[in-house]
Amino acid sequence: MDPVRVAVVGAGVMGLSTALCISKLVPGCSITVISDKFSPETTSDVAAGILIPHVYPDTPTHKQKQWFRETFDHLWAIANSADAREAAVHLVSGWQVYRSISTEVPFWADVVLGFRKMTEAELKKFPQHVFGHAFTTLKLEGSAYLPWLEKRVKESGAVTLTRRIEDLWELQPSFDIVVNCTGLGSRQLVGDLEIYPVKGQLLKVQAPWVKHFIRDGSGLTYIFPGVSNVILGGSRQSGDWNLTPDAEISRDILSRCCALEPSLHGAWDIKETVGLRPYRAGVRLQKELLARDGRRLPVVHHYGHGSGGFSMHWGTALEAARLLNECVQALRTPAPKPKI
Amino acid sequence: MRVVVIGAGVIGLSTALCVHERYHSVLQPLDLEVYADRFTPLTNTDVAAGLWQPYLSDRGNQQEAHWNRQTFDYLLSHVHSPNAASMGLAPISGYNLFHEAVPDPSWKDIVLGFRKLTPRELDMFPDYSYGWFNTSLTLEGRRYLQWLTERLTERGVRFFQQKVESFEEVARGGADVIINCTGVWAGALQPDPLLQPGRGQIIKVDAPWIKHFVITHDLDRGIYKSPYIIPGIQAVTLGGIFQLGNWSEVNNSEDHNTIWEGCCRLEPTLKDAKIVTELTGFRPVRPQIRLEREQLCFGSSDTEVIHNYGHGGYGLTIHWGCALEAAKLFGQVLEERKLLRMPPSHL
Repeated sequence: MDPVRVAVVGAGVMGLSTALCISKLVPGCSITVISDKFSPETTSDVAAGILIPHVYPDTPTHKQKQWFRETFDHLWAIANSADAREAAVHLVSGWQVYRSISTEVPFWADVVLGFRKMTEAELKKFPQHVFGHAFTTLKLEGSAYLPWLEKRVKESGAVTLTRRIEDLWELQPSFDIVVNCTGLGSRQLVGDLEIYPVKGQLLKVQAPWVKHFIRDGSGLTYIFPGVSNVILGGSRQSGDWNLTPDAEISRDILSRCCALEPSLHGAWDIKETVGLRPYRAGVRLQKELLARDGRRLPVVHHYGHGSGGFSMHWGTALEAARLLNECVQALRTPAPKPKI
Repeated sequence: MRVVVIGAGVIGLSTALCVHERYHSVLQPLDLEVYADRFTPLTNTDVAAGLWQPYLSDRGNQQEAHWNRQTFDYLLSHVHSPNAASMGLAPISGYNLFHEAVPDPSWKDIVLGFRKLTPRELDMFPDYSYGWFNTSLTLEGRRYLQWLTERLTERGVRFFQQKVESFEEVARGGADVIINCTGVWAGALQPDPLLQPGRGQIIKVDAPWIKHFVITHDLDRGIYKSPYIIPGIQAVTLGGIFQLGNWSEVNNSEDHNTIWEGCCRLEPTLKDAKIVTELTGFRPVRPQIRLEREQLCFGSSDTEVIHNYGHGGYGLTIHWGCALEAAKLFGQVLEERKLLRMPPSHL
């Protein structure tokens, strides 16, 4: 049987992890990852990479919890393996602090480790906050994790191709099925007007003594210590496509983070970076059969993760692979002969 | 008033600072000097991993338990300062691991967020079946000594690099009060059969992905004889050696292997970590700290000696409480000699 030729468009965390899931779960496929940008030039390279989910209003909670748990388990296995260093996946503990009392327990509380309310003594460290949660979670660095994924993808026999796709039909007749992981690119590529950028600016600094994450409950201010730097954030500018960092915003981020963690006044080697979150009310995980001039092209859409890409990537990639499997089965089932 | 502090490890320098802070304004002139044959980075403090954590049981010593708490509270009050990192100070969380269930430590309410480990957390450490998680503080020896030196220099305290052979030599040089912070070497100035070296060896590595301390305990073998991994401000300290009575200052290759194998087994990602340096030091082991006054008579005058040594493997953990106590004893000396122009300021 000839292999089913799959084109995965997009080489951010979604494209690469979907390619890897397909190689593991769907036999008989030959996979090509096609993108105009590979690491370190993708949105995933900018993102902080901490496993704290973003809530999707349009997706049922049990589904989000499943995706988060699958992603956590996948990264947990890497963190405890010989690949931990190369993929830059590690445990990190810290605090999420709020300016008002919250009785809500987040859906992901029992997926992370040791989740509990902060004690009075711990809250003294944050005079502007009255309530908080302490827990241990995982963090990765996009600029290390993506190359690690790419290596695993290639080991499985897939190939990568640097090319900008302007129209999905370009992929026919070379490919049988397309997996669309183009994030914000889908606005133009498939005409999805529900996806729009929410620009985020962050600072990558040297402050190796910071060993804990601190995140303001609003999600706007955060400190995430990684392997090669500490990430300070952030900003949210809806509808802004401009990738140039704004000096005023950088000053504001540093000021807010120093208010949470005064020792950051001693941080050095401060680098600004900007990424565009691919915002959508819900992740688009959907099969579509494109038709034109009598031709058909099955597409699996897998994009639109907004702020929560890394937190959900493996769970949604597994689901995308399942959808792809359905497409493969459909291709392999001979079409019923029309009755005369 | 001439005060000489002998010893420039964490005990000597912090005691000097504590005394100077409290008495320089009420005792003029206060001429305070530090004599030592070793300064940072060559002291035992420089070898210490730098984690605030007392022994598992305070052996009934309430006073030492109190000094530990005073030190934690003092350090915690500085953790918010913009200069915390240059002091070598930062919060750090981590794991204490055991082969069996143990009672909670007496310091569980001093550290932050103390709790038992959950089953999923214990899955990370297959050789261990029980443990604790808490947030404590890292106080890196070298940086702290540099910071203390800067503070003392600002105050006009002078340092002299010399090996003191006797209390008499210092007394005859004009010292009114001698503060003896000679640590493991105190026996050279006055024999002390209760004081012994607890030799330790550590390996410092570059492993910036490690954000937690991991300390294992083997209750049969005793403290510090089981692997530990303690991240500092920049490098990570690997250890697990405690040899009572061993004065060898040379790094030992068998000890290196013990540390390396033990720590890599605990944290396999360490296998590729780059080794930055390897050091040997001597914990000044004593059944309890010697923190007391003694009057010595040389010639016609009495010299007051305040002893402050024997802090074992918990010197950084207890140092400020002891410095406060030593300063209090110093105050008593001043009162007895009617040297105070006004009541001492309680800072």
